[in-house]
Amino acid sequence: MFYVGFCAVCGEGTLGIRMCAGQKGERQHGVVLCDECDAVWTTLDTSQAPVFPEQPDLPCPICSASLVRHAAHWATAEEIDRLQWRHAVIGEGWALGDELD
Amino acid sequence: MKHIKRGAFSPNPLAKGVLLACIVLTGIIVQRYRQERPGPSAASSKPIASKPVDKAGAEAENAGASTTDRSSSVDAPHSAPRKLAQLGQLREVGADVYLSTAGLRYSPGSREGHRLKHVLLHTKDQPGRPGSHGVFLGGRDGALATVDAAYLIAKQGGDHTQVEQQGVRTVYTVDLGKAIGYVGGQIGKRREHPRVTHVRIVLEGTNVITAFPVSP
Repeated sequence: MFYVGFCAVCGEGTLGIRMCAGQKGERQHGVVLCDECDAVWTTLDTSQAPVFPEQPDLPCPICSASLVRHAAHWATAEEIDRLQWRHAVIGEGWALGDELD
Repeated sequence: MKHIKRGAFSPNPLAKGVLLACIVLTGIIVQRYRQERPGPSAASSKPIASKPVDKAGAEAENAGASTTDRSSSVDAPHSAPRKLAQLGQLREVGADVYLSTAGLRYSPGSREGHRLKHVLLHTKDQPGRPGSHGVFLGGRDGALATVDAAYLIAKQGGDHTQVEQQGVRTVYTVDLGKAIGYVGGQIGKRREHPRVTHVRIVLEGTNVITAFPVSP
């Protein structure tokens, strides 16, 4: 998981770039998702108030497709380049739970 | 009394003394009787009896039990919960929805599929996780009991609880006054896994989003 910071809401989560499954290919968009508390930002400005998507499906704030089901996934380097968000990435590491799988 | 002349008893001092003695004796008897068999007014001034902690959640759910009832189940903040073993027990109250002893709900959600599974990820270290990863002591049962204890203390308020409201979410940080976990993850590894006494609980209403040990 490529991450852009740490969550100010819960104080522990890693803010990863998550690809929404609502669109495919070049139109596919990304969001910033906290791997701990599921807070979501639609831009890289995480100083703004986040969105708290409804449980359990975590609908994307942009298109309402789930951020946790189906084809949603942590963004690859290529996808981050396409989003032009590479400059915001501060590291790559395991998301919560992924290390134990 | 209107029909009795005021002077009817006054001429006889003996009768007057006997009447006074009767009044005093009656007062003493009534007072002793009340002490032996407290009536409604006496009972209402007593503190509410403590209830079994394993029923607190259900009663809160069904009958709106007060925090006074719950406080009797947990020692004062900054001390170990007295009945920790009974806290953290779950019962299914809906389709894949579980209610804890203290009244916290664990429902489907998160990337793991269920908030319970999500919280229990904090029973093991994840040394490769960036930043901190709080790890509960005591495995599954220890984690759920600690979260319940922290929630009960948080509801009482006080110096050992910090509360932050963020939209629909409430974030509690509770000092339990003894080591309940340690810091894992990459930061924890660098700091040699320091023990921590605080728990952070993120809730939407009584629905648990996450909970984990934290160094404040």
